Amino acid sequence: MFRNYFKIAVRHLQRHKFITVINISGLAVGMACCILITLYVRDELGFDRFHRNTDNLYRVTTQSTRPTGNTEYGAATQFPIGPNLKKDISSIKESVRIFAPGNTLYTAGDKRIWEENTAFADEPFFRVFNFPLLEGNPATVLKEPYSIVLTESAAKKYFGNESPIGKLIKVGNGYSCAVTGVAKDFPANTDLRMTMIMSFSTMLKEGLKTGNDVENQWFMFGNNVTYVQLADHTDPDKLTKELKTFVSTHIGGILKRHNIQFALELQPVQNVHLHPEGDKGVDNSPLIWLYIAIAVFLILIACINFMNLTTARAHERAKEVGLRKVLGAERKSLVMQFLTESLVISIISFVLAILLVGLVMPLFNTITGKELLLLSSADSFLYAGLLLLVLVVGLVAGSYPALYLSGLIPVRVLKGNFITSGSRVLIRRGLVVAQFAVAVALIISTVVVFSQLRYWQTKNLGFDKEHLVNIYLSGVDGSAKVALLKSSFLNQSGVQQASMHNFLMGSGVFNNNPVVREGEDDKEGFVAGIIQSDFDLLKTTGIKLVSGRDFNPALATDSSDAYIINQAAARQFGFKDDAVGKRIEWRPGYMSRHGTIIGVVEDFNLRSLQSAVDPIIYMVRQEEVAIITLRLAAGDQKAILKRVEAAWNSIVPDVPFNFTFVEADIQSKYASERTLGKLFGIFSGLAIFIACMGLLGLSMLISRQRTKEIGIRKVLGASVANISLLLSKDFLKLVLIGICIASPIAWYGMEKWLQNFAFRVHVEWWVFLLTAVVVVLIALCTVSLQSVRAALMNPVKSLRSE
Amino acid sequence: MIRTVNLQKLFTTEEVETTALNGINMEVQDGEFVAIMGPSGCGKSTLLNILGLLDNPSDGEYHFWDKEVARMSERQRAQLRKGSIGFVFQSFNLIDELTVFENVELPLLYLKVPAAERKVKVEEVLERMNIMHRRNHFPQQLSGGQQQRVAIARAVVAKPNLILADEPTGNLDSTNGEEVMKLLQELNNSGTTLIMVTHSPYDAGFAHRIINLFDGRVVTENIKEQFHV
Repeated sequence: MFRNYFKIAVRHLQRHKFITVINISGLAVGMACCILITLYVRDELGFDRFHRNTDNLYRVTTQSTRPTGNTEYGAATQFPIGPNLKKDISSIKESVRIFAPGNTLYTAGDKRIWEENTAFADEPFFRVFNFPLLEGNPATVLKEPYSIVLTESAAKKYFGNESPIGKLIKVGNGYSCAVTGVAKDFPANTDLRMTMIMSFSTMLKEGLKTGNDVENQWFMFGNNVTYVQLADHTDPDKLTKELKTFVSTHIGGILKRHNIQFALELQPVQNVHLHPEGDKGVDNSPLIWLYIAIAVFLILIACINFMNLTTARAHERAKEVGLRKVLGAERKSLVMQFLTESLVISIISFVLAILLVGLVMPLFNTITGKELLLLSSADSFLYAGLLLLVLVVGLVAGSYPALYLSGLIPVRVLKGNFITSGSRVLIRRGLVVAQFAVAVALIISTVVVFSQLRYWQTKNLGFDKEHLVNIYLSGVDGSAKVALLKSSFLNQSGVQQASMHNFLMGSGVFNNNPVVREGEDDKEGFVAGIIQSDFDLLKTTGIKLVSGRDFNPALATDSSDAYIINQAAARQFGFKDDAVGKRIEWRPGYMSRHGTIIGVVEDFNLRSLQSAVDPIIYMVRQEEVAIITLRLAAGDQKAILKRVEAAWNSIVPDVPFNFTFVEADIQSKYASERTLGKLFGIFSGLAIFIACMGLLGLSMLISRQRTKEIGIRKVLGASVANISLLLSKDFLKLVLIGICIASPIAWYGMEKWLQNFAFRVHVEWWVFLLTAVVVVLIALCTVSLQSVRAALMNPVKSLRSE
Repeated sequence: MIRTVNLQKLFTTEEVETTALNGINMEVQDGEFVAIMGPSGCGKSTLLNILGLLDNPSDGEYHFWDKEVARMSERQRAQLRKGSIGFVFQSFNLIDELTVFENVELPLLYLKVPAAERKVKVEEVLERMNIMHRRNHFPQQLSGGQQQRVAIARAVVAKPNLILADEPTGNLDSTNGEEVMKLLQELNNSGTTLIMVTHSPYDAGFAHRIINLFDGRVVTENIKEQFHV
């Protein structure tokens, strides 16, 4: 029997090629998107789940509420927290601190390479996390100061095929570390993806050399994150009290002085990826649900095509159904027959979808920045999921037509008495409305995401970001050489300004320290971003003064007794327009520097526009400069940079020249939003494509069914335009209803999404109008393809064919 | 085999009520060949549908092999119909997507006859209908006469006791029509009961008895030749 079902299914597909193409292409595209999204979502949800101790691994996160009532969440923790947690709380088995120094130069022999993803980590790192070692003992590789573990590819990069164990790598321009281990390359689905890991004790030792005992700095935040491994069967919620006690024991005093409420929390390691600032901070998981919804919607739109095109052709299948019933078929066997047909379509679509996925995977990976593979290894979950997809699509698409067709009454249909009931037509229309509502909602969302991105790209950040280049000084020895570099750069034609400083334009400040009004108690102050530079920072970057003046090298006090603050800091101090002339203090913990505010600058975004502007204090202090920022003249930037590089090479030939454009750094902050926008764009394009394919098929079937009516109307004098309008009108109505339903839903969803950002656009009315016009035009063109053809038909022919 | 008592069939739409059959009393014996005649709209096809268990009467009794079937559900009727009644239609009603062989095989599939047995039975009936050489063709590739021979083959393949034919020659030229009538007569001669609706007095001439309908009533009954059980 099944063979018979299968045979007839295949023959039907062959006979109605156009409809088959619409059905299969729609479903294949829908399934391909669904598979891609599933792989993407699975990857996003699978971050750091592979560790042996995953269930016991937590990241320590912070929640701090300042006197202003501002609550902030973060993952950066003070250096002493890790070891002391282990010491104080018995159920904390291990603690691992990881500190990422950022772009740093590493040297081994003649290999001098800038590395972005390196870190210092505490000794238990390789025992706590599952990053297998190819060489070295996980218990000891990070024990000694000046030890370094390389990943396999890093080892190859620096030492070729030789064993790197025992060899030395120079870090920056200072100390060297001996290679104690080689780790397998870290997988793509970890947020701890690094290429080289140095022992944490190295950093502590280096700090001590300059008098900076970070292990006892309870109020210094850096890029340090702390992970802990709890003892088996420990409920992290039960540790809340102990963490509270821990905080008040160690920093209760200082918190009280600064009037800050501060709490430590434990975040399961598998939550880190989607909640980068801790479980209560930014939540990226709604995006995951959004992607899943898009996948389901795309499949549904394609299934609706199948349902509508099958039921619209019911009159063609009715005779067969009647006949089969007369010959003894029961309803059950007819349902089975129609479901077999939809399953055959589903299987063919699936095969095509897999091919499509294979084809677009490289592009998809480029857009999402992932390294996804289809069926990379024996993965029973994925196989089962794919099988389920075929079955569900087959059943969902086939169920309604199967139930409908199998319920036809043989006496009626064999007599040719086939009338589509009003309720069936209503269902079909409802399904078309649903398709377009989804497509329209996706299009509106795409437009909003892109206008937000555009806003970020074009908004005035408070400084002139064009033609600004950051040049990294890691590896350059001594301030004399740095100064020489700066003056040499300024001698190159095309270099208009240069400034040395210690922050990364577009990324943020390195130091956040307490500041107070002069002489006031600590608790009256607040934590501000500290920028130390030469005299030329404002000139170079174009940060605008609102009041007061810039630093002046002619005034000796400006390098020891002057501050410039931004408007956010002025507000936080409680100054109105009278900040200039006021005395403040910078209290980093190891010293106190008094000074007069000589100017106030406009707020500008050090970070991206996703976050609000932080209070910033500027001072002239050149001991810690790490970057030279150049403003280049417009024109051939490459040629100018060539000259700058030549100047660099003449002064520090042994340090590789390393630079980034500030604008590119800023754009990289919006990567996830850009990915979202691109994916939205692609998926909404596909949604409208699949929906229109359905519309095309449906309009073809409907105009075929109305051939006689069209013939009669033409005989009675209707023009081609009249007939086309008649046939198109019904469909356009459905599309318009879809637009009306989708618009408020999309508006609500997008407003919610935009609330995540400090600087945002509002959803404007023209977005809806534009979408409506575009969708109506596309739908009209699609329907016209058929309606004009039907209207042009010779009425004699259409009447005779009846 | 068949007995109806005061059979009624009403068709009701929102505004009109039409009486299609109005008190039909008739009996058909095993092995009989009965023709039903009458003008268009007199209820011939409606009667045939009820006799073929495709439809229920609105009122009256219908005994099929001494079993009252007038109130049976669609499911029960389908069970009874399966294998015991064969249908031949004016417009052949073959399934376009199936070959000659597959069309004829269909009733056996629904009777769950094993594949090997099906093959033997289908080939046997195709030989008998002289259409074996076309077994792998699709309906559209056959002439009208050939299509109707396939339809008859399909009606008889399960060896039903009753064959209902609704104007079996209506779409055929006279040569093909004659051929089809001869086939039906042969079937009847071999013991199959036949009830045939026709407009053609010539075709009706093949039957033992002619029932004339008018406005849903039996008006005359001509017994052409005495039929003996």
